[in-house]
Amino acid sequence: MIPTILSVDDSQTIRKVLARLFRPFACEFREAANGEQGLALALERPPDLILLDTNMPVMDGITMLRRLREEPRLRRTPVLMLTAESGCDNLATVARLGVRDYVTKPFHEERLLAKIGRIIPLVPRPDEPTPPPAPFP
Amino acid sequence: MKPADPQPGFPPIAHLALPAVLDSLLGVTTTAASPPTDPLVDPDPPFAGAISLTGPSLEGRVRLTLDRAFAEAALARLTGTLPPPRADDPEVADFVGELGNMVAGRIASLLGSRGHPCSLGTPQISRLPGHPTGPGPGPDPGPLQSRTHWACDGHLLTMEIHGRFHTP
Repeated sequence: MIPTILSVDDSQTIRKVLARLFRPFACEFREAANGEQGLALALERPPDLILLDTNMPVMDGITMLRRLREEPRLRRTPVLMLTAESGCDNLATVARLGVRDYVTKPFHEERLLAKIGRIIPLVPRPDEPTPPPAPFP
Repeated sequence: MKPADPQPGFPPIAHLALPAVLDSLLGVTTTAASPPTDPLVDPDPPFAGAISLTGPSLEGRVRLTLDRAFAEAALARLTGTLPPPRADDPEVADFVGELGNMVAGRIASLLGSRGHPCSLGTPQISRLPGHPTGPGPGPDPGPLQSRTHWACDGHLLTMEIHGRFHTP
């Protein structure tokens, strides 16, 4: 069974980047635009990893994280914070909520994949080679 | 705890933040540029993304302005699509907001390292002719601290930082 990765980020740009990043790997990529949607998707089908932004409308990342930790089925779901904010207060809060790692945007794609690979297996799809990043036109 | 730097200079912070973010995000070099000349007619006004900074010892706003062509080129790079497809307004606005978010995040990190921690607001996107000056809509974020113009692969970007420091 292939792993499921859930991206929770209000930026469609970031979700598209992540979708491209995971396309060469045997995994299912799901996405949500805020914490409320993310929580609903996670409850419907618990993911193997959540990539979570902090600053979002409707429900922010830290609130979603607290709600996740209250749900027995999601309490142990690995979460990796993906955010533009790297303040000490945020780091301390998310560490207390059991976040596996914290990545600041903009992120290096290879480093992000390496961090994810330490949490869930990322197996290349046999029929899809990893494309190089497109040059800046 | 007394801030290490009572009022850090915003221009040096601006000069560190935007080039670093664009280099990390897109692998492009960004250089300081001259202010833009006002076009007689602007059929496709640039997009501006404003992000507030709020902390115990400061409040402010970062505003980044760039044109659709730059956003399309960047989106093509990020999503791996060539040639750059025409992006609709919501896609461009989303990119501008996210880029502004990253730049403001870098600025917030630099301010935090100088004793002025702050958090970011949600990006507010607007469109005005030319490269508009001024803090944009919303509560007064304080006086203009820095206005810088940047050239990146033939595209022009403008960044303004408004802000004020106060005793926590």
